[in-house]
Amino acid sequence: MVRTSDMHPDMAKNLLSLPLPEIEPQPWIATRPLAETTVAIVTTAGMHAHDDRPFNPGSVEYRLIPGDIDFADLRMSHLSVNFDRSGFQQDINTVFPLERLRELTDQGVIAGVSRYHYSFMGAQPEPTRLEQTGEEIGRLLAEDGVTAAFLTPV
Amino acid sequence: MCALSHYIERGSEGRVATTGVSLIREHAEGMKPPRSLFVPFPLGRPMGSPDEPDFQRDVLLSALRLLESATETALADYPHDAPTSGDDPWACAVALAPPEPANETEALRDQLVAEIRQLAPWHAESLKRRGRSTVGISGASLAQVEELATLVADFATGAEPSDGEIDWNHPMPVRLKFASDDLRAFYHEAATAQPGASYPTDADLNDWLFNRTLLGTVLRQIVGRMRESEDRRVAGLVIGMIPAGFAR
Repeated sequence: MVRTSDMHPDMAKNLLSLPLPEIEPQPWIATRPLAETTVAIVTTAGMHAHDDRPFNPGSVEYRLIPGDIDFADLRMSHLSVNFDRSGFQQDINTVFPLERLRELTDQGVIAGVSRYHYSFMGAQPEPTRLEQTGEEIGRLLAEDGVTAAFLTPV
Repeated sequence: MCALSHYIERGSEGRVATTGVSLIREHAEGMKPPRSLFVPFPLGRPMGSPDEPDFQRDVLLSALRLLESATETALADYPHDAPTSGDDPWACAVALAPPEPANETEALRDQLVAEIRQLAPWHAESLKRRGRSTVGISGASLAQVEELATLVADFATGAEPSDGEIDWNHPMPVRLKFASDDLRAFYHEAATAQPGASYPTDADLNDWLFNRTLLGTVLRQIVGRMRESEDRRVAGLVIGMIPAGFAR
């Protein structure tokens, strides 16, 4: 339905020209069954709480999103205009499926949802600039008892 | 996104495994995140469609199950397209008749405010139905949306934008980009609150806003002025104002 071949040529050209740096793979992480897995969301949608600082163009910072945040407090300050925002505007779960994770917890499919989630600005022209903050939230998630991160782009 | 998977796993020292969805298959193929589900959905909708909890849950679970099933780098394909609202073309229920934009600042402000007031009842319906609005990244409150119109009218007509009452989050010229995003969010939320308007596509909404509203015409005027600006910060903002294919 939507592949780069279906996109506006300027957009597809831009997306396909982004550098894809080779990153040394990590040793494979053996996982536990889902029913024993605690999940956090990490998004590059440029989302944040309304009273938090909006992202600036080119930012490699992250914003922390509390697991009990009221969806009415979420905003998106992503720089790009070349993606759909109306899904997010109508239903936050279209981008940030926190309510779906809560339901999976209630059903016993996963063990739980993290107390904190993390948001970055996407459309990074140099993805390797995320190394420091990416590793930092890896440490933070681990220290918080999270065993899996679910990553969503826009 | 794919780079973050590697960095998170490295930073966690083997304690946090990553999975996720990918909207650009070529990026996932190139950067090889440990586990990723390619989804054939529009950019901006990684879980498919709004207000489709069963579908969203299936996408989420399909990506989470890679945690159990994958034993080496895995890029799986999600087999379903996102739900749509049918074959009928979407049309905004509010018949806006965009006038020719005025050249004079005050008159253009009045025209934009009049258009916003035409949409206001539908935005109130959006608030009632969803209990929230995503307007506010510029620093403006929902009650200050008409003031955002003042900023764009000022810039479009070459007047010196005044600070007004808004507690802006950004200085000029970046302020203009986020004011534009807030105005577009207001228009989108109003347009998608109308009966039968569950799933306008991104293209539907862009076509409506940029070809059938005064705001769209004014935003294109602004982009024209930005392109001519000698201030590189202003010219550099063009790509953040109007989606590809709608600037003309």
